[in-house]
Amino acid sequence: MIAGYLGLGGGIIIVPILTLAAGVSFKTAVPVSAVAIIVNSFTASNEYLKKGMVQLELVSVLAISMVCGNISGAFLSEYIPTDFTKILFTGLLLYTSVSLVKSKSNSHDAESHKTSTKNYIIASVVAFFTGIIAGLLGVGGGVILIPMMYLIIGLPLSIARGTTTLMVGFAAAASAAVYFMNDRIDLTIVAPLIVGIIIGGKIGGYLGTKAKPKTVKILFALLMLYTAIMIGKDPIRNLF
Amino acid sequence: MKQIIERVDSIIKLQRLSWYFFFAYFVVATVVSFIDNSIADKMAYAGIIALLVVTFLKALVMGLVFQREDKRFFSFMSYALTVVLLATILLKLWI
Repeated sequence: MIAGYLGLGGGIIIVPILTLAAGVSFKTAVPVSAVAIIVNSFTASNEYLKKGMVQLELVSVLAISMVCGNISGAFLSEYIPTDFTKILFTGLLLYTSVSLVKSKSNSHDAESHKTSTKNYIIASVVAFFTGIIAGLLGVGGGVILIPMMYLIIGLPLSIARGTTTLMVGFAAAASAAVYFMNDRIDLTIVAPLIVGIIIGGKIGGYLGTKAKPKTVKILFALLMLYTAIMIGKDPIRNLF
Repeated sequence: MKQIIERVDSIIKLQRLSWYFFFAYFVVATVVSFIDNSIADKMAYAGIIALLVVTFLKALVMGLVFQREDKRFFSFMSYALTVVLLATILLKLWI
């Protein structure tokens, strides 16, 4: 529900809950969360589509960049130490969170906002690298991509959220397929998790289309700080 | 606004149908897991394949939307996405 409300895939919420509350290992939680993100994208993005809060052109460009990044990330996860990725992600989250709070609001709808060719290129590069990190950590990548689209290419938060919700479904499908290929998805927890995600995603998506930009901005910054602490505390402690 | 919603109507319909199907399917799989875990696992396995196939169809529909509007670049990007997704799914089924 929280993911649907903020336009996220949900990995940053599902992975910590599965690992900390349900006692599932990180290696198991990550592939399962990739499947959950696909489902959340189905349910939540429909609400944004109905309100005209999705820029379809941007979805097609970003999805292919992010899918390529995601596949690379899922393969690299076998070789790159998880702690290294976690520290990198923590730094990125802290920086983006502060930048988001300091930024000024802008509001348009999908009809009035036009994305230039230059911005499509910038967004593709950002999406590719976000995809790699997302693939390594099993998160949808929305938590980074939404503020980046808002801060770098000036896309209104509402459109960035709607666009990302639809797009992360494709990216997650690519990494889920790779995990599936390697038999890394724990089938016993998939079904109940998806049932919960479907209900939550529908409610969250509906509420998300009615959310005020300022509220979303604050919630986003808080969620990023929370995620940074959750992901970064153990690897940073291991450094000292 | 009406135009924006009309162009994505096919995607909305596909996602809505998927929503109904997957909700019913995974509720049944969850119930079955209390009776026989191995059957529930097989259902989850087939469900994941179905999820990937529907995601592939979604990209295909997106490509068709752009093709209808004669937006060749975006149509190409959407079809390229279907190729990448299809390749990963077929790899799993054939290897």
